[in-house]
Amino acid sequence: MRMLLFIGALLMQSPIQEPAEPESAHAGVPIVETSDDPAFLIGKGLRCPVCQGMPIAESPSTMAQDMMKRVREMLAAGKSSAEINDYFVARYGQWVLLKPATEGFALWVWVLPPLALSLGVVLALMHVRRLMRARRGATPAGPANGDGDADAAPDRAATGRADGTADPYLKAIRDEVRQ
Amino acid sequence: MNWQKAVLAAAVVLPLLVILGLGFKHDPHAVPSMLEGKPAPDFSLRAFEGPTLELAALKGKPVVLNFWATWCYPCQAEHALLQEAAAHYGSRVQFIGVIYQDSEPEVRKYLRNRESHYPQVFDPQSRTAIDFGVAGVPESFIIDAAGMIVHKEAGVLNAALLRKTLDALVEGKS
Repeated sequence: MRMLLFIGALLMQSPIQEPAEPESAHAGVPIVETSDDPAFLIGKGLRCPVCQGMPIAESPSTMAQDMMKRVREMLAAGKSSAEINDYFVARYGQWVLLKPATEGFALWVWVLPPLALSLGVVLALMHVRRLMRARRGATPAGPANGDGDADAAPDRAATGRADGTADPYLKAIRDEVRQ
Repeated sequence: MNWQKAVLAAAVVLPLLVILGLGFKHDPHAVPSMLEGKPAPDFSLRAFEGPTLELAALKGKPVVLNFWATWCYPCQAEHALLQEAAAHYGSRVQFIGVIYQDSEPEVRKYLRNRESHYPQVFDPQSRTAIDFGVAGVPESFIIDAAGMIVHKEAGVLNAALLRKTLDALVEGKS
């Protein structure tokens, strides 16, 4: 059954129509697609104009493959990766670089997110500190040494009536506890 | 203290809203036109019917370079406009069609039933397309008599804009 499905999948493949190429392709330029291949590494950093979320080293579009061929030719001609990137940027703009440049206006892309995150953390910490301070201010202080007058103010704060006087009953209990 | 919080919030939120608003004006998928105002990259390409065409040899008159393909429906839609413009301007403007990622039999079949007032050239491995920063088709470049790119149009050409630009170039030249 699996063999039948496999054969069926093979038969359903539509033929790919390649554009006519009257000249031979990059003669003498070796194609080695490994992770340490310099052309592959450069291609990983260049955006495909057709499949815009993908690098040209991975995009299946014909344009991406042609751009990779151009990268290989330029490498074979002795161009550096910076020169190759500059070539594509001159034609497609900074947009073609998958990693934004670290100069000019594009520098903000690198600077703003950590700046905004730091600001957010600072604001959050300030807010938490303010909340903790407010909670400490609302909590009454504990009993001090047995001076009845010294205890009167905290007693009033804890057990204050609406008229501002301390509850005598509660004050009596506190005095007895301290004794 | 409340007004201070309001000022701080406004100082953070307002710039972000401005950036967001500016972002909505920009199409994130549009490829920038980097070559406007710059010299057109030279090319020497095999014509579909006729001799090899060199861009440098055409200096002295405006050129309209149109990248297209038979499988591109918008290209088919603007084909008539380009043919009409080429017939109108005659020898005053050189129109060139650059066939983009297509095959010779398909182009032959396409042009068999359509008029063609100007040469069509093949662009192997999209070299010229990459040199011009083409991201897809149709894309057209209007080049002045000195070989400078004055306008790039991504998508179907606007007839009024084409006429206005070419009239200015032709009059400026004469």
